[in-house]
Amino acid sequence: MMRQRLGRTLVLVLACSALAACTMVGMREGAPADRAYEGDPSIRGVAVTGQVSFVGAIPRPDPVPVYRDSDFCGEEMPNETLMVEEGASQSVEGVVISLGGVSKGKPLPQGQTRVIESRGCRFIPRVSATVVGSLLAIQSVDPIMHNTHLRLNSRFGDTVINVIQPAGARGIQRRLFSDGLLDVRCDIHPFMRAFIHVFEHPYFSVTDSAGRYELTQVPPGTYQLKMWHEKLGVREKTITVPDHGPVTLDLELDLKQTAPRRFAPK
Amino acid sequence: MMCGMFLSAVRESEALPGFARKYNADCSMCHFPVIPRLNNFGQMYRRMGYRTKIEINKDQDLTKVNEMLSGRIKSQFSYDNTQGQIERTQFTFPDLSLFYAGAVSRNFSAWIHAFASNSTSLDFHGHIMGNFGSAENMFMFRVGQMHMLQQEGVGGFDRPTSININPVHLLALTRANVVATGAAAPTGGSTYTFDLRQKGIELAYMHGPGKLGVMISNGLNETGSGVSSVGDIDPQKDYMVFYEHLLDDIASGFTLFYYNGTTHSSTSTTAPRPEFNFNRFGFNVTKVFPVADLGFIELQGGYVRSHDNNPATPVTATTPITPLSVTGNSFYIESQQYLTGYEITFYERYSAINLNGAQPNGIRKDYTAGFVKPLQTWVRLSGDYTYTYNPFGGTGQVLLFELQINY
Repeated sequence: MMRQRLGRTLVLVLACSALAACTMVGMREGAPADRAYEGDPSIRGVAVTGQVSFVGAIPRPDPVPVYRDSDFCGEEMPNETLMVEEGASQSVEGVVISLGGVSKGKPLPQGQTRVIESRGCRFIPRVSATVVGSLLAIQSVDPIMHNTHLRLNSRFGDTVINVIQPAGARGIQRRLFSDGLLDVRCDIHPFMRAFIHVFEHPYFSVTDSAGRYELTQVPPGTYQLKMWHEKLGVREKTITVPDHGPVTLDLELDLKQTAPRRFAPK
Repeated sequence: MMCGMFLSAVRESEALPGFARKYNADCSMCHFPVIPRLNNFGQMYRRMGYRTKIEINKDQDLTKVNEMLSGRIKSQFSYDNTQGQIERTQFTFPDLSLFYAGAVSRNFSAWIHAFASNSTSLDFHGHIMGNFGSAENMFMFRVGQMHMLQQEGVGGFDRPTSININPVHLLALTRANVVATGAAAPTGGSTYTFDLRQKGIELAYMHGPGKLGVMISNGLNETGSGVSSVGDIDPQKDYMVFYEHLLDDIASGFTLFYYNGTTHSSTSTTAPRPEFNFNRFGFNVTKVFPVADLGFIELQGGYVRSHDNNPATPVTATTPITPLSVTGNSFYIESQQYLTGYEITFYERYSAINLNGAQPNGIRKDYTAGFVKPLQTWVRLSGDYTYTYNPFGGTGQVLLFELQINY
């Protein structure tokens, strides 16, 4: 009797463990998203370029205290939530520009690999964008342990990828199966943050230190141009792309407008 | 009763989201692989009086109460089938806790834990900490009521990854002798366990990853619990000397310890009340191994040698005492597998306690397996199965699921 009970209980335990494991596998890998976007090599569009500038007095956020591994990282880190270049242009770095409502256009880039690196207790790059199906190379060169934890939309979202890398660990690659905004954190060092936008289409760009962006081969039409910034939120603007280009479109951001930071970058 | 026994044997655990709010941090800053088990940064944070390295010898802001206040609720479902007991399943609500803890000044800290456990009665314990020096060289004291090594140490003494039914250090590790004739004879072997919340003082010196300390405590009282509000049973104090060392920045470490206690068999002021002393010594060690692309595997183990000198029964005219010393040997080995991508941890443990009784095969053996899965940041689901072979009674199995939220 006792043996039977033990057997039944063990079966129950194993079943629960297997169920949990399968659930986890499902959550992690997921199924490739249904592709709403269709690539057509015959489409010839125009380039949309421009610069994003900050309007108003540039805020000077306080440095971020380093509570863990301050021997290596230093006792505080620069606050990089809003990177605005000094000078007349006040260009904004790290703004993700994308087009909404694109269902057909240039082919998706194949075999893309994006790198996110833990270096000097920072994620490099802080803001990046790529397409569904691309590889993400996760690496750390610091002599301390880091983890690269990607969650959907925010720190409270579902885990997409979580990789812990002790000092000396080799880099690894993970495939990005579905689109969305990925909030990247090192849970061990809460000041380390990054954002990765995964798009279903190839019409996106991240502004550089001069605030410049470039969308290439945009088919003629009317689109919702989206601007995303980790601190300034999401802004949208309707634009019309003509048959012939190029189009120059400078954009402005400020602190007055408030908008949700999250959006599904389709 | 059996359920009550195993539930009381489930180790408590603490995870303080208040600290996470203070540092805008995730649990992994202080915990590995899941709450409430501390990683070595968390261990250092606790050692330094709930301060990070850059906060040592600095004033504290006490106005942000939410950074010191935390709560915890556990809800469990169990199946229990133990020989000699009725077979049962049951839902239980074993723990509701409120914590108020943190550094309160440049050098002092406080820990308060109020909790209710399956009853309407409220219990609490707490202590005051003082820390003086630098992160590399620090003197620390604690005074009040505190756990001994269990939940406070490293290398397997720390807070559990699992629900953890019947870990070695939570059990009595000696047994009163059975005399050769088979007659029942002196009872009263030490009921000391390392999980008792003792009242006393701890003095420690910390140098880098090492900590050398001594704890002086009341020891066992007349109930054997060591935790009641009634005072000590004798004028002598128990003491423990220990050394613990952190081996890496994950959660590896080891502990060496020696405990010596004294107690009496009664509180009578008229009848003789024989005194006996007992000691425990041993070690705990754990080592975490990173596994590329997968996560971590951890190997853990410990050994405790236990000796009770002259366990005594109350001496009366009709029952002359036959004091006999008893010795116990116990050890455990445990493995944990933390799969980082899946955010799930599996664990397996085998423990044996040789009570050196007169019975053949007189070794208690516990086989445990389980899993822990964080469902959300501060919510964890865990399952734990334990089969116990106990020649002294209590052979059986327990299956337990627990949902725990810390906020």
